[in-house]
Amino acid sequence: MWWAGSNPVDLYVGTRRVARVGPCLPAYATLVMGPEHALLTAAEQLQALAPRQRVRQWLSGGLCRPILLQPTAGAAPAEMEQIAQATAAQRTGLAAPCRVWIEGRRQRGPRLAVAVAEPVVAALETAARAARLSLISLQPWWADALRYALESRPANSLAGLGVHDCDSLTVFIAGPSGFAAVSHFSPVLDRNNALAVLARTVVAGAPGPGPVPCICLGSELLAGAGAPTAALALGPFVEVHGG
Amino acid sequence: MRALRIELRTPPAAAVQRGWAAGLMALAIALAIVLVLGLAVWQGVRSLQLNRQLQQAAGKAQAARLQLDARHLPPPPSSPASAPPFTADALQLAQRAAFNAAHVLDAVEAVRVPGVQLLALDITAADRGARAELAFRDAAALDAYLDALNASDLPPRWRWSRLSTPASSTATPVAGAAGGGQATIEARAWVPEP
Repeated sequence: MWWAGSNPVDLYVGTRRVARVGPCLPAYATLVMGPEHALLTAAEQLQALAPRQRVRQWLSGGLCRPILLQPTAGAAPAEMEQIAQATAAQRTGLAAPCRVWIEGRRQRGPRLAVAVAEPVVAALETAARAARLSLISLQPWWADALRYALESRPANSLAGLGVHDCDSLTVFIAGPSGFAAVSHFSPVLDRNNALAVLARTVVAGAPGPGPVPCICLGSELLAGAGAPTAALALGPFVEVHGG
Repeated sequence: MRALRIELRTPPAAAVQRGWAAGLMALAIALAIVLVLGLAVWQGVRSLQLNRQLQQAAGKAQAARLQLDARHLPPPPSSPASAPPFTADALQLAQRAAFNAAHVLDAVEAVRVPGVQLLALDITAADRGARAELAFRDAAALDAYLDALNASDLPPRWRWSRLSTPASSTATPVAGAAGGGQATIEARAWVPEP
């Protein structure tokens, strides 16, 4: 038996929805109206947790957006990182300033970067600190969906992946050295629209042979309908299409 | 494609401080352990040195004590210890007591030869022998007496040891050399241990 607080609570924050899944807690999801409302709702959810509870915060694709950094001849990795930091807001459409995470320099080929508005990070960390919670991670939910998709299938069997959450669609096209292309569409609210956009993106991206599934984060509990409840964060709300 | 280990949260300062504190604590513990171990090793080496010095001092003290004792010792005896008095007599008595003289006495008393007279009989237990002094009339009688003494013994136990005549006092250990007249002879007997 796990002692209280050892299993983390997953809190999802998007511009259209806030959800919470954790041990000994009923799964919770609610609609929100924009980023400010989302942050307020997330703070309320954090306040409802017991102190010292470990929390993982997941951001929607609308709040945390990917950038693919193509290697440039003559540019050192450090220079590329500086350029990515400076142009993150412009390339993602987020409001500056942005906090940028960039893949390690040991990666060959294009490197992935992630940008999130600095006020969003500050608000979530402040709320967790105010509730005396242990914030163990803050990352985009589509990163966990990507990990789950890669781990649940044989290596290099996916030609691509679409991740649809409450406010966006993030598309990854596999390439010989990792990612051939990464696309981000926001807002994409409807699931059918997301699947249609994914189909068009796959055709345009011309990926190699293999399935291109779409992992969708819904607004209703889908446990029992084949959803990956345990292997993926916010699993009870997740549905996998295609592939 | 590959999984991404994205982390966007600010590294908590408290964690950094805790990390520094833990590092400093580990360093302090490691230093303390090294210090204790070094102290223990130094104490061990020091103890060995002290023990060695103590042994050397004890050896020197022992040598000095021996020299001091040697100075105060009585002088060693220059001559071997003299035997207790009467030792020779006691040894002779013991040998005589252990010697069976009855056999010699029986033989001397049993032989009677005319012209030969037993004058003295000296049994020397230390030599396991007997000496008889005889007065004889002629050599034939003396030879007969000696033959009679040795009659039952083979090889003969008795033989001439010394012959003296009144004309000359020098001993002549040759049987029959005396010729006639009166003389004194000594006979010696070798008697085995019973």
